[in-house]
Amino acid sequence: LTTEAGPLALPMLNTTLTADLCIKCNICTSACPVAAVTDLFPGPKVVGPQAQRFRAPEAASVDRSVDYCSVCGVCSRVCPHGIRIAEMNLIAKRRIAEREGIPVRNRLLGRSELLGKVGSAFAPLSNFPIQNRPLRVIAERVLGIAREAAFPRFARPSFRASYKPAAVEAPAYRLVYFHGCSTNYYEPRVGLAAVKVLEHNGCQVTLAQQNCCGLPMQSNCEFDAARAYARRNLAWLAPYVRQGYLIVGTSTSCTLALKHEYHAVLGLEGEEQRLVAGATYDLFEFLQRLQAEGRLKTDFRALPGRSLAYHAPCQFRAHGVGRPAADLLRMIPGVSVTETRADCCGVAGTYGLKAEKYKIARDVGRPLYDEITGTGAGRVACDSETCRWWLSQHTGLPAVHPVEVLAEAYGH
Amino acid sequence: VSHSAAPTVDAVQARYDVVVVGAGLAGLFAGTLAARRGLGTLVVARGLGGTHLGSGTIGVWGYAADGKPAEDPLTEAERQAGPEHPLRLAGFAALEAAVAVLQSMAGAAGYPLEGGLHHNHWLPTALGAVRPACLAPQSFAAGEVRDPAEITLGEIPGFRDFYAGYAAANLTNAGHPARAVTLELPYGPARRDAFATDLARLMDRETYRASAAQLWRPALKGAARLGLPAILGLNSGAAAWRDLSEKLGLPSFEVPLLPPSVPGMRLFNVLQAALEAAGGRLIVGPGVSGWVEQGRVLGIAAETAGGPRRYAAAQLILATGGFRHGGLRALAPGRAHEAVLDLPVALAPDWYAPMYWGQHPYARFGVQVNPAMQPVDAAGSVLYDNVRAVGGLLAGADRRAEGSREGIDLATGHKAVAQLPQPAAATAAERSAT
Repeated sequence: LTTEAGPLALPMLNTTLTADLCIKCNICTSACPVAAVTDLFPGPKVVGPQAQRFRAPEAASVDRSVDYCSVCGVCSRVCPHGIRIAEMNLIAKRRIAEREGIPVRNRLLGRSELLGKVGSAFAPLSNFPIQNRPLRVIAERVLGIAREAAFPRFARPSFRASYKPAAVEAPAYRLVYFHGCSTNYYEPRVGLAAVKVLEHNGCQVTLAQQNCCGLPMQSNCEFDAARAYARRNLAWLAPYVRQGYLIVGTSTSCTLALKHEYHAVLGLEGEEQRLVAGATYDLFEFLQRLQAEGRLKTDFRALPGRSLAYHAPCQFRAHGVGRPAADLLRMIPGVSVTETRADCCGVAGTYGLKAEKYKIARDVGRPLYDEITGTGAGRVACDSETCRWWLSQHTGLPAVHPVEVLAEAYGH
Repeated sequence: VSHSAAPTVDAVQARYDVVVVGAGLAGLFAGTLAARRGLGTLVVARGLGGTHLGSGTIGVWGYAADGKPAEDPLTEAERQAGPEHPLRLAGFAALEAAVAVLQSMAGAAGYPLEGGLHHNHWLPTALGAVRPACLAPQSFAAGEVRDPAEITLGEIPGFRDFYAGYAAANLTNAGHPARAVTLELPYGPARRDAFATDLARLMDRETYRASAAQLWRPALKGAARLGLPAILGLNSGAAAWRDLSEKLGLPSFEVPLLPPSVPGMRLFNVLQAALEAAGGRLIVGPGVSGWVEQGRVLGIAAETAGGPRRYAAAQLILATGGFRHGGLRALAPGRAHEAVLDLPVALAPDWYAPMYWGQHPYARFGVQVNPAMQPVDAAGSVLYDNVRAVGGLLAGADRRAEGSREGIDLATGHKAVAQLPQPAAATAAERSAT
């Protein structure tokens, strides 16, 4: 099977062929947070398994509405037949992009690492344009980046520049910490907290060479560029896995990319891909494993009166491992955790940053903002950086990675 | 210490007293009861299913021996259920207890289920047939066809899942006087077809209901009661239905539709909230297989994004459903297997009846259990003493033909949890330490 860009890799073909399992029950449609707020999007069943039959190699994709899919992945999770709906939609979006070209705006938003490198080097000066209202109006008119969407501030020094490894005697685990772009260039504090928590629990942490996971480029339909980043990560990480290391990350979309997207969306295969996918853990997934093994330290100091609204973001839910962060935070004396039920905050990576999607994304998240402010919690805890920034803007509450609370409770 | 070359394969991700596989009515109900007993409980399911595909009513026994709708579900079940029927195995005491628990759970959530075990509602379907239900949401009750008052059904132009004229004609032909009126919505999705969920979300808004009531009142002059497709609110329990009825000044009722079922989603939300309020955990997404070593079931392996993760379970409850829901899989002609533990499946040589709506032998295929809901082999010996099977996975019932689906889910789930031992002291201590 080929597309305009050449043959589909077998894993991608397998993803699109899951359409054949669809019985049109519409459970995905009922759960889709985008279809719930806009009639520009006909829902995951319609643009996914139903439209897939029109995407035979020789046929042009018939429906541009798939572009309104935010690829939050709720549909794939609730499907009782194992259809990779969101993944299929992304592959279809990319076919439209092949034909119509990729806007400069999308190429820019996909390059979080490049933005981070430049922005971090020139911080705090580089924070001026993204906080400057007239410039944002121009950016909206010229590029189509929503003027209202909050962007995080670049940090200097970067995480890699601030990180100092500690030697751990007879470590329980040897880990590679995958920090991702957001921790490195915007929120070094998340990475520093994660390393301290892991070292506190007797794990030896190493930073391997790594670059952007590639997901922002993948989400913006630049599959070839994303693959180049992905292949480099696999080549750098796989040798560690062969030596018995696990890979642990705090950016939940990065860890999902390593585990799942490289294979199911980008179509990468081979020993390195399998090794890395099988050895990657999101941070709280790993801490839960430590707990199950009786290795998790519980020498918490109390954080009296600390109330948190914990939101498990779509990208974390897609890991399929439940909500270990909520379970672990509840072990800290004095901490109260209210979990949100609403599925998606709306931003879905870079979706909500786009001028034509901003209002949709804001409406998607409305039930969640109401839920969070209704809890009366003082802050939001969430495993995804883009969701934290978005939720902070729309609830007016500070948003932290749950590991920051854990590190504080461990006294770091 | 643990520097194996394949460090994830043998690792345990988490430990639970009870893991329930399946998040339909049977799984969520059993999981909630287990969590309410204080057991550390995980419900894990490959996607959503049973509730979202059903009508949101609770059937216990729908039909008399002559095939007509039954008046008294419990008496009918006691009369018709054979010795191997899941309701008989679970026992009618478990059924009564389970129904009471569910009614109190739904009532507490602001979504009461009306009815009792000695009375069936007879309710109109979207095609104008009559369907019995033991418990029904409050918003269904005014559809009772034995009530002689004429039924007015609302046709919503552009909504493809409900044709009021067709349903009214069928009801009238069956001796239940009904007519259809056209009811325009204030507004709805303009650039694509409307789904029931779209309209239900609009109906959650008071202002939308007020506009609808104002638009509809003239067309409803002289109507005794109004039947609408089941779109009266998704997240507001029974409140949207009650409010709209008051605004219209006449009794109204909902008619369940094709999936996705709005009343089914409401029931799911009630159950999920009850499970989580009791401390139970829910993971929707991964496929599940059994973790069995040397003849012992140690838990499950969940197919997560990163590959299989093992969840240790002292007790395992299978609520995976039958053929339609993935709990049973048909293999080469004449063969079938159970999806999680490869339990033996009770089969018969013939699978199909000649007619589609006939009573197909395959409907009764499934896993055989003893009265403690433990799977047994053909000789009646328990296969794993820490495994229980409930709901549509069980052999011996034609749930659709009997109208017994939800009654079986509830009774067997209740019985299975009642039979669970208290956790070993070590497990309990471990949990309280955390």
